[in-house]
Amino acid sequence: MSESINPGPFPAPIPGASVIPQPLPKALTQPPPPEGFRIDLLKTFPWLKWLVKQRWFQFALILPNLFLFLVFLAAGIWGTPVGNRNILIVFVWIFWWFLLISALVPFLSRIWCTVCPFPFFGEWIQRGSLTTPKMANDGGKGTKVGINRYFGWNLRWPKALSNIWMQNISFLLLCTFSAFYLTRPIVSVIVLGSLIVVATVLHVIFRQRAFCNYVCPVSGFLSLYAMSSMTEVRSKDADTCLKCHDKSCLVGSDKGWGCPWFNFPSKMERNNYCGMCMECVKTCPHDNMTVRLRPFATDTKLKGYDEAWKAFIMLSLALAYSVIYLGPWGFFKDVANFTESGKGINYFIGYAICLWSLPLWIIPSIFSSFLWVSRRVAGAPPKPYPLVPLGLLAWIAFSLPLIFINGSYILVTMSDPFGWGWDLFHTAHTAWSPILPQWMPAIQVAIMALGLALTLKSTFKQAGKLYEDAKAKVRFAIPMAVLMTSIVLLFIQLYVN
Amino acid sequence: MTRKIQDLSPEEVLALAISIEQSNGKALHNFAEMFEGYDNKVSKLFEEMSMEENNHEKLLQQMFQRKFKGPVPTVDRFDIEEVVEAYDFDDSEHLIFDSLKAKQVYQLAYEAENRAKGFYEKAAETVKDKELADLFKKLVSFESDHAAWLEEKRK
Repeated sequence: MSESINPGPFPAPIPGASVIPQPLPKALTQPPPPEGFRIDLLKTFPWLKWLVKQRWFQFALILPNLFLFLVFLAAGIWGTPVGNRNILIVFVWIFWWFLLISALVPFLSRIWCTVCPFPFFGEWIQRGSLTTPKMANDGGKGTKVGINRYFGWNLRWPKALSNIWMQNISFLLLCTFSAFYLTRPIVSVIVLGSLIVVATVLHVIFRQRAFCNYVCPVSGFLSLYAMSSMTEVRSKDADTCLKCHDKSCLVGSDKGWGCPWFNFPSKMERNNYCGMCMECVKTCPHDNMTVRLRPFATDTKLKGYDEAWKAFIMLSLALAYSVIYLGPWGFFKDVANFTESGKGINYFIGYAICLWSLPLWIIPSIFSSFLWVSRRVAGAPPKPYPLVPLGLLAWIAFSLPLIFINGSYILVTMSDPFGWGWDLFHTAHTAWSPILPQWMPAIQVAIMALGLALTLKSTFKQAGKLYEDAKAKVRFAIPMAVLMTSIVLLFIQLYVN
Repeated sequence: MTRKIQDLSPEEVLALAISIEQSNGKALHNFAEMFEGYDNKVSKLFEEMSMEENNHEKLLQQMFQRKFKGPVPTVDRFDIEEVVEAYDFDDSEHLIFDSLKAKQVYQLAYEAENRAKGFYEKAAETVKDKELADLFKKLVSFESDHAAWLEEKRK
């Protein structure tokens, strides 16, 4: 069925071409054994298993995060308007962003979603509880979803919007106006505060985590890059899930809520829509759900044009941001921040048009051209999946200078969050000092080289699955290898210059 | 300790078949619950199939009483190694994207019944006990009827 969801712009191989027959769509059979190592973290660390099975686990993580978030919003409202002296700007757009893209996502998948404060109030209203699940048959008020009981309207999210296009557009919008909120605390308050309000309202209207799955701009790119992560939540044994009639991971139980992310956890094969809430680990009556460590860049299936375009958007924006914020051309930065620089709005409109054209039209067109070449020389086009790990590493390469150059502001704002002259931890007067600035280009080049290596590996692996003949494999892989190498060289050129 | 189905006695095989129908009925009912409010048409289909499994269970109970009399031994699907018949989605993300179409629901059921039929056919060929082999053949016929009904629904 998953094959039928993705129409793909990628037609079947030309008849007569020497192609290894593809396996039939999977029915109710054991899935193929996963490629690469798997380490069961809940088995290896019994304390971790105990922890994630506690009902208070997620609440205990969200609460301090929510407190910090409210402090940041307060700093944004009442604190100094000077960006690098306000904890909101420094901790959210420098520290959190760097942590998220460079550590949390690559190693821990969507662990940010586990602790995210955005849906907290909405989910609290929806569940009518902070920790204990409510059962539909306990006589209480509310709407039944599965066998749990929820408050609110619990409407189904509109089918036409059941994709990540809204997240694609909202992320593009955020990036277009990034120069405004990245430097102005009050604008950040409006953006972040609005997300909390929207999340709360949508939780009251729609089922479960509709906001997270379909609206949240952060969730959009987390869903894509979680595919590359080294952590996954999966069932241990497929037969146990087949034999289970409770399906508690889906419908819930007295031990926990049914999956809030609309997943069917026992069948999960990729990380995209798993928010790592651990409800399925709690509800499974057979102790058959677990958290595993796995190789980087393991999930390889993109479904639908929305996900493919997300890959284009993220890679394009990494390129654009590298030019605007890291490049030597002050013109672009001035245009992006036109209200401060004095550049006219016409320049900004031109910049916005270019910024949107890049991921929505230019990069996809270039990609399609190379697909056409692949089809002509090899009979089959490659899938766009290699853009995923490459895009993630490009964002890591872009984000490193943020922390290495501006990291000292973290110490300053930690002690003086509002810019009022406090010195809570005696670090308020830390002098600005960039870390290893002379090594930054080399580190960025190494990261992009790793991205290229992974991309080429993925492309040749696709070739291996389709063709037996070595020459056919090379013909298939060469066009994409040329494209990816060109993209990486472009990034390297930007960083080295 | 799990056993292979061929190692079960004839009473246990029939008890297992009853348990499987019962279990499938519950699983399908749970799917129906999940789709209620999300896609009521699909929810109704799952509920319809759940009731069909409950009917199968009753028929097998009657078969057991005719053949063996007495109480049905407790044997469930976790007592044996193999997976005989199980209803399951083939994708974890149906509820995220576009629900299921009626044809897909019947397809899931058809595949499950065909698997069961294939399983009992193989068991009938390999088992040495004649009474057990006859029972497996009866179950093959049983599952074939279900598969035929679902095949009609799929069209």
